[in-house]
Amino acid sequence: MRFEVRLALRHLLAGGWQTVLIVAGVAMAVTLVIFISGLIFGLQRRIVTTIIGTIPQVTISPPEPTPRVLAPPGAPLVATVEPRAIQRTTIDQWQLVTDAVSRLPHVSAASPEVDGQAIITRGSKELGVPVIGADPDGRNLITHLTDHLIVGHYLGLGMDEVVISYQQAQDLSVWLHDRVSLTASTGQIQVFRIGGIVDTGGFQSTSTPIYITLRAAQALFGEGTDVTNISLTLDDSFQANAVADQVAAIFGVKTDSWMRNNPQVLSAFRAQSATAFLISAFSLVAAGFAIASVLIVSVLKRSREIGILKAMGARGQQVLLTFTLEGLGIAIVGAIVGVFGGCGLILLFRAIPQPTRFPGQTPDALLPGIIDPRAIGLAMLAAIFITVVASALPARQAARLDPVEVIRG
Amino acid sequence: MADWVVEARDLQKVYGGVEPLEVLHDVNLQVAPGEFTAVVGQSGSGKSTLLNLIGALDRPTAGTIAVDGARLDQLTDDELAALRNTRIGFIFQYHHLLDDFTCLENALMPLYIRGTPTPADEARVRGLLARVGLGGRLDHRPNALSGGEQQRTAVVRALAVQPKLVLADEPTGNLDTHSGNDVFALMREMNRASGVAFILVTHDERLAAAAERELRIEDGHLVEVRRAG
Ligand SMILES: Nc1ncnc2c1ncn2[C@@H]1O[C@H](COP(=O)(O)OP(=O)(O)OP(=O)(O)O)[C@@H](O)[C@H]1O
Ligand SMILES: [Mg+2]
Repeated sequence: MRFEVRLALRHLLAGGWQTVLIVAGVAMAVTLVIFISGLIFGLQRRIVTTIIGTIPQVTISPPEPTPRVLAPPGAPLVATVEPRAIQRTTIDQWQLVTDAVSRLPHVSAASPEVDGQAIITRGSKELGVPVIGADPDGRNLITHLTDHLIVGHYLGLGMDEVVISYQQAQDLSVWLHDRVSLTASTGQIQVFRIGGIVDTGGFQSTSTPIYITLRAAQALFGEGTDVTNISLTLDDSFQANAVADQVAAIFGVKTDSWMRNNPQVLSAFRAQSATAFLISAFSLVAAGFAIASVLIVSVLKRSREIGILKAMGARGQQVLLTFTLEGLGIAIVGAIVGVFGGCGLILLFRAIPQPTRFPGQTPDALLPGIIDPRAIGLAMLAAIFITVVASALPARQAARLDPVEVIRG
Repeated sequence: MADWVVEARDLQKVYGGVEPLEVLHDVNLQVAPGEFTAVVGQSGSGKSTLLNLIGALDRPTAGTIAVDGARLDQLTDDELAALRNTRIGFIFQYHHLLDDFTCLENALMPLYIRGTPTPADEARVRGLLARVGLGGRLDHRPNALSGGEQQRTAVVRALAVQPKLVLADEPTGNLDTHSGNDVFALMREMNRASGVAFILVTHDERLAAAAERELRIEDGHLVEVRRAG
């Protein structure tokens, strides 16, 4: 065993309770970092999957009507700008666009749809709701409705079936197989049966969409064989703006991304991430100060010993390494304990259930922390880095010590 | 082999400060291999200063020192450290053992600094400890040893690396007469057995008289008091 390792180990062992306390301090800092970041990123992921994950991350709609200059170039201009009389509400050659878009990077599913607004009626009760008409297989990749089904089905939905939310079912006093009628904005009325009831976490009946098949929607809204928009879902939610811009540029269509439509969600995420980062940074720096102060005391306490070792031929470099190793030992043990602490805390909080919103619902975790190996690795590296920085000052102080001063007694 | 274990020429040591203090002046010293030299002098006369200069712990203001043929002024700090580690043993007034290490580990410390002691080194150190009567205390910490036992451990530690020279600064100053005599006898015995040169600083005229050679520092000068024929 090298001299420096032998000495550092002996110092730590001789430190007894002092060593235990400082290791506990580092462990607590690392625990906090892993817990807080796991919690924040877990909450964000839940928000992404429950809110963002149920809406399309990118939506393609027909191009905005552009005002056209009617006069030929060079002709005298006389009140030339006129809007187009009829606005296009459907996407040209939507099959081709759907095929091409679904091959773009990050796009994991593309669902052509007819979306509209309708009034859903049951007896005297009625609700104005958004309607999404899409092929269930494609749309399910975006909305994951099957994950939220309470009763009934979505895949294999019939032409005369509709999927509504639990809240809407409550408001309309309907349940599976009951009949409701849909009145489109065009005045068209059709009768549907309740094919499924979902819980997507939304509470407002009038802003939660209902789902019917593409064919049914084309008939209800009189769109023939056209679609009004194409919904995309991505393998990485945060690529939405890039994909939206790319699609708009390639196909000359209007695109929307969830990131642009929900700036408040994004800024909340950023605020949360910044908070997590600040808390982590402060606790690590605090641990660093604690290590530094312990090492400074250790160096002071051992100045006699350092002097005698240097008189016996220990080089300044060896003394420096000894105290750096001492700090490193504290950091590594503390970080390992902290990783167990942080993961344990996350698992503990994941086991605490959230109150259910409807009978029979599988309860979600109150605090859905995630154990992210990258966050753990980063927290450990940061703790170790901080320690090395923190031990630099006391270690240099020790290395510079003049043995003559000490031997004088 | 160098002719002299220590060869100091025209040494001067001035401590700086508001009032510069010249502690050593025109000091010349040659110590032969295996010689046992005692240095005496009044308190504050510069005995420790001289020992620190020879031990490469401090640098002279003027003059040169060679230890075992190596000119100290021509060595880097790391080379000086290596020289202290391999060719010089130190014994101080206060034993200066490391509290967190056992008696045996303390005696092995200069070897640890160098690397891992070989089994032969360790056996030799164990043998020395047994010879100074500490065979049964190898695993004891310094605070479990008496002052005399601690100082005997320090003597073994100084000899652990088989140095050419041992510098002892009042090693018996803190011990009662009996333990002091013990430690002195031990150093004398080691000196005879191993041929290591000793420079012993002491206040004790009796011990100085028992050395082969006696030097005195007076008014910054080093004076030869007596030299065994
Ligand atoms: N670092 C220093 N700065 C200034 N003066 C010093 C320094 N070290 C020693 N001195 C002075 O140099 C003189 C010699 O000191 P030194 O320790 O060598 O004496 P000594 O002979 O060993 O005395 P003692 O027998 O008391 O140990 C003393 O007057 C001391 O005050
Ligand atoms: Mg002295």
